[in-house]
Amino acid sequence: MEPERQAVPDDRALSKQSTWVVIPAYNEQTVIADVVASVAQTGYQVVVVDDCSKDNTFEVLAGSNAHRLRHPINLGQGAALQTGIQYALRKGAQFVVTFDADGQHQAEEIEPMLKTLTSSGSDIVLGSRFLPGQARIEMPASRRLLLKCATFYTRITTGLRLTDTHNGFRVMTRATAEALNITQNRMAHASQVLSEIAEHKLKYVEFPVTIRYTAYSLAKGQRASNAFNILWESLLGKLFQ
Amino acid sequence: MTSIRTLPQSLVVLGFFLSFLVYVRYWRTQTTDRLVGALVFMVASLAVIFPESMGIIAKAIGIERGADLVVYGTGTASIFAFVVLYAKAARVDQQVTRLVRAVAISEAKEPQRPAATPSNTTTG
Repeated sequence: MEPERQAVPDDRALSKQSTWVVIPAYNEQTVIADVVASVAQTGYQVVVVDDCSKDNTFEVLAGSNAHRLRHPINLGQGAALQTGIQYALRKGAQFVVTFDADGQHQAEEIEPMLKTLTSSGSDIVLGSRFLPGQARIEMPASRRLLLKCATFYTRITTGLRLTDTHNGFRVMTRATAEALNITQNRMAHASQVLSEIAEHKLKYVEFPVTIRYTAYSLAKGQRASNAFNILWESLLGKLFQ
Repeated sequence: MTSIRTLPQSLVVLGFFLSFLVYVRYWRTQTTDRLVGALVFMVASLAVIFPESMGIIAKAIGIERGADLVVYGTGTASIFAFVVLYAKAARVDQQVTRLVRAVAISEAKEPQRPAATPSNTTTG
């Protein structure tokens, strides 16, 4: 073990070291190194959980600043997220950030989100694409309608008033990360996070985030038909708790 | 005649479905599963040994023919079997997840030049 550093780090450095960015990744070898580099540049700790990719996602990060974890078998994004969160907590994380691996989130937005978390006294800050005043994102009308339905469904099932229910960019306190227990391994984890926020009566706030849709991220993005899978897994998950 | 019977029958089906959901969500234990399984086996044996008995039971609960009762019973038992197996698979899934997570965390690769993390805690 390294000897303790003599100089007392200032609050800023301390919060950077105790802020962990969890990136679940599956078959992201072409972009993951850039995404990790952009996050590492901000000074936060990075943990990438490779969900048993078929490509070299794990290997391309060998020289990077990321802590690398690998699931020996593929379990799904929800499971990878929970693994990363658990690892971060064991490493003493005071703040946990969830971040997508496909490059659609901006590392520069972590800091303002953290500031929002602490200044508002919230338990969790949720990224949103659809807050008033945000630039309108180009997307097929069917997709827009589907996301609207998802926010409505969330409103009636959990009571949470959100503008964007399927955004992977979140910043939370240690206590929140400890309270969350994502058991929905595959599609339905985003909905599960929300229902746990409602269940634990956590204080939440939405934060406008910029999503960079690239041809790559669009190709990897979810299909509309997954809405049915999410609903199905949510219902079965509730039945077989 | 048919229309008068349809409403109560729908209610019976609905009631059955709801109690089934309640059973799956709140009452299921290994013991109740086995009891239901034993009951299904006994009724099936009864149907084979005394085929007429199905007709008597069917009439008693308002189903015309014994064969119909057997068909409904088979359907119900199949759904029950599916539920028991599904629940078991879901449980095994969660166990595998916990195992995989423990392996992934214990074999974590730290960055070569770690950015001065707080003391490393071991898995516990």
